[in-house]
Amino acid sequence: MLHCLRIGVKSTRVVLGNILIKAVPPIIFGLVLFSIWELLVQFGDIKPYILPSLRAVLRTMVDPKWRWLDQMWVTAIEVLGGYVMAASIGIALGVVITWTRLAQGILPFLVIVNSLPKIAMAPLFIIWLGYGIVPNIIIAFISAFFPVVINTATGIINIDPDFVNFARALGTPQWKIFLKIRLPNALPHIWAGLKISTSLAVIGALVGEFIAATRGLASSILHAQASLATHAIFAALVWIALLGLGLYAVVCILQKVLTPWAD
Amino acid sequence: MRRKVLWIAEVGCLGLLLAVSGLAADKVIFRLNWIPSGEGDLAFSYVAQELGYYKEEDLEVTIQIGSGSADAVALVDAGRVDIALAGFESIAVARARGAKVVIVACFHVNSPYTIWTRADTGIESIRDLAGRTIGAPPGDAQRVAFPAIARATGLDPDSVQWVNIHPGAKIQSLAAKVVDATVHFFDQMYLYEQAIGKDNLRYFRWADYGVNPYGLMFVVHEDTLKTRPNVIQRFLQASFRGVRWMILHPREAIEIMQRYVPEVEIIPVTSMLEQSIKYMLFDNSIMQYGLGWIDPARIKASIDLVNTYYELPRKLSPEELYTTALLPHVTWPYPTEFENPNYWPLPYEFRY
Repeated sequence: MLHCLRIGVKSTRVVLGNILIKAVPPIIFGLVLFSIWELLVQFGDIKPYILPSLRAVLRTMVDPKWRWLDQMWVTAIEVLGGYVMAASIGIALGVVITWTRLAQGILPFLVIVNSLPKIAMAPLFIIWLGYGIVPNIIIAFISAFFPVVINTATGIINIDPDFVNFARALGTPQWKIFLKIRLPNALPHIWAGLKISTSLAVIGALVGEFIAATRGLASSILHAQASLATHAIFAALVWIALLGLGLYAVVCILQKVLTPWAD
Repeated sequence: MRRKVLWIAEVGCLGLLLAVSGLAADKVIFRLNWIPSGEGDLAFSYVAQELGYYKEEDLEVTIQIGSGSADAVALVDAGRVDIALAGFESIAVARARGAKVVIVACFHVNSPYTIWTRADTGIESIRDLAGRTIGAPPGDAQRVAFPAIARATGLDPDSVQWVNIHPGAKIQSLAAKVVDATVHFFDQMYLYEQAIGKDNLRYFRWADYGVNPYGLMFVVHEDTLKTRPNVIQRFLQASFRGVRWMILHPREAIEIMQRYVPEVEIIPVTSMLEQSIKYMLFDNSIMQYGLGWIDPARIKASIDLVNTYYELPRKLSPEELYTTALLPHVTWPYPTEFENPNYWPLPYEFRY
């Protein structure tokens, strides 16, 4: 038992060591970057509305006047709503278009929708759907769903044909081949699509907020722009980055927990 | 006996509920043209809300923060909002393209249009803009109507080079010398001074050169005009009472607005409001006819400008674009209402 304990402690040390090795370089890089930023602002005679100091940005990030938590909550709802829709509908669509040739006919339309500039579509959604969180959720969904669809379809189609032929030779029905062979094979691709879509969902939600919103992190940026409060713009960008990173981290954790082998 | 009393009481309560529901306030969705942080004179609506002017008119008003005049007009035309504040050109262009929108009152009697530049560019008049760069987004009203001010001052409008920049980056672009000039509302003076320095700042107001189209106007849908004229009239009455109070108490008005929109910065936005009161909200017709007045000759001149310089599918006529039937009855404040009547028609000595 002591031997197992020693192994457990040693494993923990190894894991912690690995984490430190991976974390140290970006921490050092970040410290160097922030130091250069502060020195530039201090001694470079740069006006605060062009580049605010790091200290000013950090102070603004906790300034209650900007209601960061409230604004972040609104943006987070839009991002999560759009992302969940994109993930569920995207995976379903990806499966459907691989199922029959007829269904593949919708692929060109998906490509067209994905190519349309969301910043041009956003005002139309406001007029069609009204004012508030719902149009921004839709815009986040449209921004994020395409990589999920394509990656799902790619994963389902790109499989070693020997597996499928072997299963067919044994008389396995199509639906079982799909569930037991194609879908597990597609999971790494699906997770890749879901990870790509996290940042697209954030961008989509913010595009909607920039066009018309009273709340959310993008509306904070608009207020800050209107009064040349560049420090608040930077602060909002940091909160947006944290939101995007948070969502990405959640997806990574879900992947590790649900399908640890599909990395 | 007791049962009878209870029964009468229940019926009475039910009757009261029914009566009260019939007396519910009229709901109005009002959309601003822009965000309050960037335009101080929008405080009037928050003043009217806070001081109960809308409530006195039996109105339940939802104030929507705007994202530009074009969006405001589109939302009115789509029936998503009942009334909006929008730039005159945006309303006129939308009307010419089929939108069923009608102007019901004037907010900015003088044009806010201004060309801003730095003294170090050597530009000392509008004519000096020949061969220089001006920053503005493609749909910017001042960019589209620029030939009007150019021709009035002897400048060839094709001799300037337009640089596409986001509206939120105009001041920074001029300060960083990315462009030689920008076009922006006059009430942005404080921010330009902060960015460029008072001594290095130069500006040219369109109104000073005789090109003075109407600015922001209140706009509704034709159907709203037919079905809810009384509601619109009460809304305008309460709103212009808010304008009147705002003129007398600019700083307090911005403080009220900040309670609703905490992102509003008091000093720059109060400065914007002061600029607006002095240069955009006041002229002699307001003294004679009251706040909100639409002068037939002025609106005709404004329409002529749009007909001339905008690519419209058809020419607009004044009769289809506005009505004075619902104008409020609110006067500009009297001298005796100011702490120091010497500053009348302004509430106090403005820095600008």
